[in-house]
Amino acid sequence: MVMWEAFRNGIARVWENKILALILFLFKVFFAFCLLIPAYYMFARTFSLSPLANNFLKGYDFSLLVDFFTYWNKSIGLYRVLFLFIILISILGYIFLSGGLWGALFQNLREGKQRFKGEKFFGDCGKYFWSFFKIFIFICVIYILAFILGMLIFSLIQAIAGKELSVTGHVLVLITGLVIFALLFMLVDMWGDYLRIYRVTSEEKKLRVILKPSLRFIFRNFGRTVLLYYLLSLILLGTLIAYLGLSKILHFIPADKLLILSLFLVQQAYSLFRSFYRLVYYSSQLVLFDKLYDLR
Amino acid sequence: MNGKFKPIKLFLLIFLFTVFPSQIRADYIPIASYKIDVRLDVKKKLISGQEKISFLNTSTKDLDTLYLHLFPNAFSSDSTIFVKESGYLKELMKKEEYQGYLKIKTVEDERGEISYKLNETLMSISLPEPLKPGKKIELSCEFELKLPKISFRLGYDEDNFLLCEWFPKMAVLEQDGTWRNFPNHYMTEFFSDFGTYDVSITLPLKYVIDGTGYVTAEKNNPDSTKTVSFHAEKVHDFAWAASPDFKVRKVNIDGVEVVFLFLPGDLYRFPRWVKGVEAVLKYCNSHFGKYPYKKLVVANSSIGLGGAMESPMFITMPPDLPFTPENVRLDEWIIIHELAHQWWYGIVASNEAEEAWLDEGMTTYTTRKIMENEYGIMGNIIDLWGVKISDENLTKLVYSTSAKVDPIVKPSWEFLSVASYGVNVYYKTSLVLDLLENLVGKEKMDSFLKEYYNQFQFKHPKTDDFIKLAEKVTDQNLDGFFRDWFYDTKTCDYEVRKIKSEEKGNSKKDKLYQTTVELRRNGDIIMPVDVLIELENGEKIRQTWDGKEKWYKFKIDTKAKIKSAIVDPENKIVLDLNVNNNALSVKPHRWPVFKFLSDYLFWMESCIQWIVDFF
Repeated sequence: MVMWEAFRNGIARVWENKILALILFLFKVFFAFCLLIPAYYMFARTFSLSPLANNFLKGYDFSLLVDFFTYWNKSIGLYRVLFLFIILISILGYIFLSGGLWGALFQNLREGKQRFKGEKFFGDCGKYFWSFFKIFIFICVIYILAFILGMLIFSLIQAIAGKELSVTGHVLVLITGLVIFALLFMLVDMWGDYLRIYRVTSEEKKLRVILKPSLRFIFRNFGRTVLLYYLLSLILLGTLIAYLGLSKILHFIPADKLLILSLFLVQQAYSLFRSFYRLVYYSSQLVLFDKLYDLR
Repeated sequence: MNGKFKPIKLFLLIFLFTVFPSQIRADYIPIASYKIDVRLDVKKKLISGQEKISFLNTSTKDLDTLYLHLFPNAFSSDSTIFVKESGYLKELMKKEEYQGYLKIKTVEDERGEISYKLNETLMSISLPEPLKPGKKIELSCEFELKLPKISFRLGYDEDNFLLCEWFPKMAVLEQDGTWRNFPNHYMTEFFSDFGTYDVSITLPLKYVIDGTGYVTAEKNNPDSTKTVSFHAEKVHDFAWAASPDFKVRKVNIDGVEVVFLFLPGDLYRFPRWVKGVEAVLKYCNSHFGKYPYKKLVVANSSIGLGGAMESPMFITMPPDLPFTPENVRLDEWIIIHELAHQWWYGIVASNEAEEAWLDEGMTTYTTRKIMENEYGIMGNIIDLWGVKISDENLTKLVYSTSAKVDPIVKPSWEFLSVASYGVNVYYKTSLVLDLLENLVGKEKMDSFLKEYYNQFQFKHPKTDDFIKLAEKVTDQNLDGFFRDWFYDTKTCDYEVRKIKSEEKGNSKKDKLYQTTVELRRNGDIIMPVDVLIELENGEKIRQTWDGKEKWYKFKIDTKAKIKSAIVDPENKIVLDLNVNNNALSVKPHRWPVFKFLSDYLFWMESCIQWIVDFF
């Protein structure tokens, strides 16, 4: 099956470019650290010399957190502004970085395994930034439209289900709604990926020029493109469930030093995996695109 | 007026009311009783009919004027006191459908029509001759009630009707002849005397109706209507709901027939509501006293959160609350709160308008006890995916983050804002009662509340009655406690500021250290507190500080160096504004901080990952 082949090939190609996953991971860690430092300062100042802090080893003691929020009330207000600012910068940062990631994966597909060159990578970052920024704006609008469509479909389902629902009925309606939103958002995200693929492979800078062919490609190969995307997402969901299970065990058994260190390592390993896997999305879709439209 | 009243009865009545304080008033006396006969016009949203009021002068004064409340007139225009104070209702009230009124057509006594004056939500009736102490008067009143589209506890929404405090109703008369005749403010609830109610309501056949009291008769009329008659004793309001859409479910819990009136969308909540009712009856029956009626109605109202309300034998629950899993217990909290009001307001009927803490605060405290009893101390509100949030956590959060500008005891309309009213009357009060329990002990607190319920059921206790009885049962002088917490805006915050141990003497064998613990009192409230000092050799030393000064230094000789000190180690002072400064260690606690750092880093990475995933 072409999707399965694209998936396997996609993993192999990302593996050949492991450094890209590391760059993406470090990108996340950098911005996460920017957000962590002020929060850590407040937390450490409150709790580092308090024996009450040991309560946090058994989960989150809200009686302590309530007073923490009260005491740092004004600083937390400022922190929210900082949070939004850093998130905005990280969005721009990622738009910049993704140019290099797509460029490197496309080069790997066209020319086989290459040595990573920072010059080429950051060159692509700059080269694709403006196009990718326009794609980002466009996709944001499409997300909003998808949200409105999702709400309409959800309201329709609620109307069909009627008012007199059992608890199970309510749960089913809720789950159906969530699945519909997830499917819609995934479609939008997938379209965004194929827009970037068209931009990288065709060297066409104008968004309006690549809109039509990318959409045509998706719909002409709807089964394959969607199935590949959902296959990737299903596997991701599986890993997420496994991580949550493990993290829950590590979080809620009385913690000692070893356990806290293990939790930290598991969290960072999963974060690294998520970076790797996002590139598998890119790479697999690029391979699928290549198989259907011979790029070489 | 009742001319058969004997002088000896009058003497006894005056003697009981004046010589003894209110808590030892003798048996229950119905003071304001009503016979009401009305017809509901569902198309015009009109209720018309008449009532017969029987009112007993229990004061020591002659009365030449009677006062009645006309609560529905709060909705008569966009310029009533109630609407102006609410703010948000002002725009709504510009629409005609949201307006309603209670129009008085005639008022008569046994000799004929008598004059009256209307002042928005108050009516005064000038009596042709004074009503003597111990005498009864019977009045007939014809009235018309135009129901507003429901925005606040009274009115209609499409075909659904909800009515409480809806008819001309006697104000409460104090023993000294003072009337509690306040107009309806936005932040006031109600205050009425106990009595017997016989109410007949005529409405279309297809309507399902229930309310306060017991249905005594139901007869079909030739004009496709039916007349349903109710009888209730020892209650101070008659509330009811009617709708053609109600789904009725009945269960018998602990000898009480509980009638649930569900709007179709909320029927699935039935099992959770039943559990809530069971929890309250179990707890309150055993901790305070048995629910004195054989029936209770739980009706879906047609408005959101403000649609949760308490009336005697009748409570309402808001509709269409967001669907939540069973371990997010919003439904449970609301039904437990409203039902606990049966004890604190329904039966022990304090003045909800001028001393609202006596019902709302007591009920919020009771709600927490029941939530803890049923769902545990931790996570009794939310217990989801490892996140545990309790009622006490949320209450403390609300109290801590609010401006402390009003005391607990003051008339509701004199609070700075709705928020200040809510924080003090509901949340701070409930924490103060928790604190009282921690200080006097659970057993004494339980005995006190049981005694309070027994002494004041079907009466109107005041703050002073509450304090006097608390002091009597617990055998403690609580004057300072209540003065600080109830009548003042003072706060409390204890802190361990510094700890150290210095070597004393030169003996190498038996080392001795002078250990110093510096405590601070950052708030104005003075309370004695315990301090637990832990030494490096594991020894624990407990000391008590009376808290009178702003700071205090403990200096004690110890055989090992100090490891940590905690002030109020059992967290008895639940209103301490910053528990996190209650403890101090010599060595830093790196691992809890590292765990936080680890989690927070991962959460932030996940945030950035979302950006990576979606863009």
